[in-house]
Amino acid sequence: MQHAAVKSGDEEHLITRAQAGDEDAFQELVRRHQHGVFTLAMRLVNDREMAADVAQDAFIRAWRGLPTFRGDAAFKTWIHRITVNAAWTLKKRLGRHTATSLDDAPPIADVSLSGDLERAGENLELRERLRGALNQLTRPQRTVVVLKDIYGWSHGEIAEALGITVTAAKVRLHRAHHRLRDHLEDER
Amino acid sequence: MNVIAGRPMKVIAGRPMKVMTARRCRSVKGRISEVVLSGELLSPEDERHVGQCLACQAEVAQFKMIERGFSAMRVQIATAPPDLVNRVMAGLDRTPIPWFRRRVAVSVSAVSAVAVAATVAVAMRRRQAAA
Repeated sequence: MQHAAVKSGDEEHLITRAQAGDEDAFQELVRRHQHGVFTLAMRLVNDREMAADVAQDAFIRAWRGLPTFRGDAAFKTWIHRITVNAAWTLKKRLGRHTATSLDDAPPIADVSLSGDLERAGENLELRERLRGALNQLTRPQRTVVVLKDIYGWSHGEIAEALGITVTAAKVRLHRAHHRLRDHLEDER
Repeated sequence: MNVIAGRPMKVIAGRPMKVMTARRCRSVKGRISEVVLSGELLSPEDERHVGQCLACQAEVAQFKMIERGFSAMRVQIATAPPDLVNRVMAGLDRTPIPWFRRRVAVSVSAVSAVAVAATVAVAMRRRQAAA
């Protein structure tokens, strides 16, 4: 607990320094958050190279936006929002390029893999099936599912980030859930 | 006699019970994803229905499985490309505008706008007075 507090204080200090133009401090922030940002980008755009571009763009936008960062939300939440916007912009620019599948997915580290190997194996299989099903969704549907079900964003946060109404976010999520269910059922 | 699939049915308030059950089933099934994945609540009647309806129970099981899949995905971390940090640092705009300068810029533009408006107003009054 104390460690977390120290870490968060340390991060605040880094942010303050980066806001003052300290590139070393910003580089440390990038180093700390790169995997989280890249993972989110990967889930949204579904392509390793494109995800790297999105992550890069997100951090560059963050650097430009740092003077306006007031610390109302955690830095992680803020940079994740920027990543969603960056992914959205890039995908729009590239049109409906939905890159292949998650077959070319990143090397994934499962930090939960602990003693219960049987359970872990089951989870791994289930996760792979779900990843395949997620891949079948449209980009807007996959985005709301990733943000809500994996990252725990509220409907309001999703609506704000995507520039849609809360009702539209709910409807999109509902349809996405049912499509996911249908895909998983078809697999059987 | 009310018969669906050759079986006699009870009639409640003029509607066959099976039809009412099917309607409730459709309505509950449509909300099970939100109940399991988003923590929404069912009414006691709908909960009772799920307790007795195998189709709805199967739906609950499907979405619980999906939720387990999401839980497994939440702990996944993809490894960023090793050159990402360098790429970011190389792409930085080296002249970020500090917040105080942005505020100054906003203030200057606001003052300029007011000054222009005032000048135009004074000029118009003078022209009117001269006429």
